Amino acid sequence: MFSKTALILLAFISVAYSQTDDEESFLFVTKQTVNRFIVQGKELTIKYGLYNSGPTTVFNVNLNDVHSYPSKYYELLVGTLNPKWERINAGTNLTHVVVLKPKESGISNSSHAIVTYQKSEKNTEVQRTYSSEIGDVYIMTGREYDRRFSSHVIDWILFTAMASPCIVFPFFLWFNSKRKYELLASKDKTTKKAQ
Amino acid sequence: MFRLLSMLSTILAFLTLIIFTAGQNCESPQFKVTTYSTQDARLTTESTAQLEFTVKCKNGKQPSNLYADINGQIIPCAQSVSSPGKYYISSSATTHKQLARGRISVKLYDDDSYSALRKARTDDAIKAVKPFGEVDLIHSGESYGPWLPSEFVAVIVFGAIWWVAYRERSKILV
Repeated sequence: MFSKTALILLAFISVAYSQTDDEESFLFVTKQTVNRFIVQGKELTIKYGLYNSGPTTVFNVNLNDVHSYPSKYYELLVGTLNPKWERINAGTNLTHVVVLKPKESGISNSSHAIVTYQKSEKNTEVQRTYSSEIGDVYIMTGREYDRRFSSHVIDWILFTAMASPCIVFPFFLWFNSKRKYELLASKDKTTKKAQ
Repeated sequence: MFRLLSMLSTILAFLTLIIFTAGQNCESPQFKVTTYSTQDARLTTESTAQLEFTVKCKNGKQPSNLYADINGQIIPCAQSVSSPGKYYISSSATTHKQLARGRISVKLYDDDSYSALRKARTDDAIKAVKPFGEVDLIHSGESYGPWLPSEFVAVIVFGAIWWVAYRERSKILV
């Protein structure tokens, strides 16, 4: 009997504590790539989604993902890996897009982005959260991608160049003999007519 | 004497107020924009677009906060920590077709116009709010690969050569 009331009390306490958390906002950050394939020397698009759940505005949001993509291995084409927003209102869904170009192929791991923000304008206490991560990805070489997807026009031109002796040589033989035969046939006709 | 002093102080206060507010607002902003949009539709599953722009004001001030109107939703523009003065707007569409080809105009709002927008309740009032500026997002369309696959062209060409040869050969053999 006593343990039952204690259990109910514990349940109430836990619910009460979770209720107070709803009054504060929490920023959810997702990090994903929209690429089907990651190819060396081609664009890699990373999309960061920020969602402010909860009823209040968050301030001074700072996303830092510079450590995931060192400039030795990735070239930054578009966007910044360190954006900041002064305020994100409640319920807003933001995206931030960054386009990189991998310089090397192989397996690569990119870790979480670190996001810091303040829950109120006056309270300078900084809340830190991490984004989701993409994990291990395989960066294929440009040749592998081209083998599947390029237009192969140069390959066909080379093939035609290599196959043309097989076609052109017999064609000329036939053409010459045909011309000779036709010449003979027309000469025969004229001599027959003369007779 | 006292009245003169009070009048002077009010004039001075008024002037400082004007100077203060004139310094805060950005007059006739000039934008320098670079756009990016997805070019290869086979490499990516979604279409994304991004605008990077810098603002130059007549009085040299930078707007503290800018908001952009993307697809009806007003979102704050990202700013760069390492290079201040650059603003970023990003948008992503779930399918490639959703990002319209051509020029899309994005309205920008600064702090004042944004608060005016939030106060507006009716559609007319919302339309009446004058935006801070407008920037254009230019999307040149994505490519899905070559229009006619090269294998198709090769088959047609070699097939035509074979057919001509077969026709001549059958003339001889008959």
